[in-house]
Amino acid sequence: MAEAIIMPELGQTVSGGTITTWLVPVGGTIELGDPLLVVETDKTELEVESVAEGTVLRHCFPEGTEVESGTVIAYIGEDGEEVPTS
Amino acid sequence: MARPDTSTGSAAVDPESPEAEPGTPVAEQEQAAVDDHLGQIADLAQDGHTDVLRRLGKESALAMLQQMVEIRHFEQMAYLRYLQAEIPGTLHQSQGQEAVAVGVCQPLRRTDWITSTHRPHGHALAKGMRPDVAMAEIYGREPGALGGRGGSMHLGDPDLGILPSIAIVGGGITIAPGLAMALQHHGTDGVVACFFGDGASNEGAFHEGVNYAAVKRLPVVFVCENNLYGASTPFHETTLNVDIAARGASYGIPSEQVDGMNVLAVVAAMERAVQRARAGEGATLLECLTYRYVGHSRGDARGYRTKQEEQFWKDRDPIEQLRRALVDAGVASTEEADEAVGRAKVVIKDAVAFAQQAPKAPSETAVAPSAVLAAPPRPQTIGAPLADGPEDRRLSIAEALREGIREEMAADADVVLLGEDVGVPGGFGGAFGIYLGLAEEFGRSRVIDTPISEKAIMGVSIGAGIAGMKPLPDLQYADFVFEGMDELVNEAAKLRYMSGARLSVPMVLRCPVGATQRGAQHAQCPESFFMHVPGLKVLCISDPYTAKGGIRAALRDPDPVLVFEHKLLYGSKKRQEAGSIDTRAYVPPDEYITEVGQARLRRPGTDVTVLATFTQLYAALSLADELEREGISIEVIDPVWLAPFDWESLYESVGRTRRLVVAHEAHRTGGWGAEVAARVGEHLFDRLAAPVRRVATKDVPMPFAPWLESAVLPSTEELATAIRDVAGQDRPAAAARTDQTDTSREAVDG
Ligand SMILES: Cc1ncc(C[n+]2csc(CCOP(=O)(O)OP(=O)(O)O)c2C)c(N)n1
Ligand SMILES: [Mg+2]
Repeated sequence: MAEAIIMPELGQTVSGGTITTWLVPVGGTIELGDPLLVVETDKTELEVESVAEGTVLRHCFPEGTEVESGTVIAYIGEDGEEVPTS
Repeated sequence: MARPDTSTGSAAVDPESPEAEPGTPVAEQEQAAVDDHLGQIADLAQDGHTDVLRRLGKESALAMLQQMVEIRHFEQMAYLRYLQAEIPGTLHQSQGQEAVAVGVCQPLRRTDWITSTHRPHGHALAKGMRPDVAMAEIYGREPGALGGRGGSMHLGDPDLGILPSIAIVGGGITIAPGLAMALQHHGTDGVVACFFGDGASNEGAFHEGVNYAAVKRLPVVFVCENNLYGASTPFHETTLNVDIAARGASYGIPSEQVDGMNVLAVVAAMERAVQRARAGEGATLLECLTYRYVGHSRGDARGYRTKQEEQFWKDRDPIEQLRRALVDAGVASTEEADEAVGRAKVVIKDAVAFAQQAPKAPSETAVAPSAVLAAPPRPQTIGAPLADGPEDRRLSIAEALREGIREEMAADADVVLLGEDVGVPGGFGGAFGIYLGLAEEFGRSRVIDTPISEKAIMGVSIGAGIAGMKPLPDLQYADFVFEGMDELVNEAAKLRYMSGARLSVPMVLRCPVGATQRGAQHAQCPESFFMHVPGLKVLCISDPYTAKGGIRAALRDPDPVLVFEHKLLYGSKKRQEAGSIDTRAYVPPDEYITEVGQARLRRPGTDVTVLATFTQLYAALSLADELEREGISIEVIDPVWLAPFDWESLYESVGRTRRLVVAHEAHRTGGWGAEVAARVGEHLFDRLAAPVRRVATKDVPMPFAPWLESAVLPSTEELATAIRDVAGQDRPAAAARTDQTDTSREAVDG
């Protein structure tokens, strides 16, 4: 089953951050622990590692969006799997 | 880079120590320090230690490889699942440092101990904790190693010789010698490996713990994981001499700098240290140069270090190094190495799945009394007034304490006394002479003279207690307890709870209190502090009967007990203080013990309950007859134990007398009387005829001159006035004023 990836709690003082770059496009494959996206938080940029392996099925937000931690931001699973669209 | 054993002579400072030339700009000095460190690891790495590989053989070598990969994956998976908000709290991870954990634990047995830090996952796994049980603990789940009460920062399992890890930086360094003392005392050749960071080497605990282990020739291997940083701060910014191994010479123990990125180098150094320890030759300090690849904890973007520096260390990756060495030396094939890596990944995948589906620890387990104390409080009825007996059995508190301690020492070889000036021939026999004669009778391995190191005295006692002894440390003056506050409050009180009730910390700390014309730092009554700390028991000895029965009860209790004794009440022949009170009373010759948590009725009465300890107890008793003649009958109660407190006996008394005066020599604000007043207000508000009154030392440090001291201490007249005052008040009881109850409550609350 596809894994819903959430925006992690990254900063010591703020909750959430801005998605600056998706490092793996939709349809691309990713290994566990590889960088999935870059998030800006507390004025620093952090690479967020993938907690799942497989195919990136969906980016839920475009680059530049500020997202609260805990929000689902992407789905990773097997190629062709159905994932929620909203 | 090995340093010679300096235990037989003083060693000169290493001429190659990396102190920069005077006059060099600070930035350059710092860079020099870093370069030096990188140079050291490169030097050390010249020796690949492949001889160790051949000696260990294929099976052990592959097992070490698998273990390092398990740790790496455990850390990574935990972090990723943490990012997914499955794991609460925070995590400190050790990717990059695996060779230290695995290499140090390689020569250890299950019955040896390790102590660990806020970064304990690798240590625990290397000492034998199952990854699923460890992962479940980090998830806060019921089948976790500690039932979810410890978590990532306190991983441990006493059955595997893993002390719940201590997240107070340096905290384990004073406890390790205590565990080692117990292993030695019980006649084993067990050892203790004590892990700590570079940052911890600047804690006072380092000095006290290492010196203690060194001078007592204890089987401890101190393992510093020097990863160059304490959180975000480079070690060289806080330490002029960054050569930690050089410090071994200061304590007269051998020390070594070790390539902490090569597990074979760590094994080799550890084997040497363990061999010395098992042979009774004492402690060793290993400084393992290593690096954590990841941030200090969650949300650490590592802005304080460079990508090049990180790469420098990743090029020395411990897993890759061992894998290569195995194959190059022909000890195992590439396929065999790959299989070991594959097995590790499966183990960790399963561990995560296990933790994810495991039930959460039920909330009632959080507040179970037996989780806090191994012997939780039991309901009590008040103890009877002191009995009379033959003149030759009328003892002082000092004599009764000595008799009780003597009996327990004779009955149980695990009881040992520890302190400053306790057993030196021709010395003091302990503060106030309580221990006179005991060293002669039981030997100096049972009456142990310590360095002037209160943190070590506490830590050693905690470690020894956990490992099966009954240590009785003492403080010459209770004022010195603050030196060991971390050990008492963060370790002694909490280790049982942190361990998920898997261990207990039996130890009895004697603390002499009270003002005796010695000024502000030899006068305090700090007992109230400890009533505030769950996990501690607090005994206040004010009479000889309690002295003997109470100290024996404390020594038989499985939990940490602090015993407070007033200097003016000892009646010690050796040291008579001005203002001493004669407290001699009948002490039965038989081996009785008193109840833990039981108050004592000292004089029955009907009008006012006076709850008092130490000098104030005797002030109350001295007033009783005079007040009786005035028509005021006081009931005098000694609470004896502040924790557990005998609330039921107090409520019973105040329920009858409807008036309470609390008197103590502790300071008024936040003194134990404040807690008593609050509880009695909560429980008996409707019954009280007068507000609860407190008589206490003024909120002023104790002055030296007797005429100033008496102005700060509570006086007998003050106590008499308070008693007369409440006796004269008669606020109607609730039953007689049903319609007013609510308004009076408001008035009081407002
Ligand atoms: C007594 C104490 N002071 C401060 C802290 C906060 N703290 C936690 S870890 C840490 C850094 C410790 O550095 P080091 O001993 O080098 O260990 P490392 O984290 O590098 O493994 C600090 C300052 C603490 N837990 N305890
Ligand atoms: Mg460090």
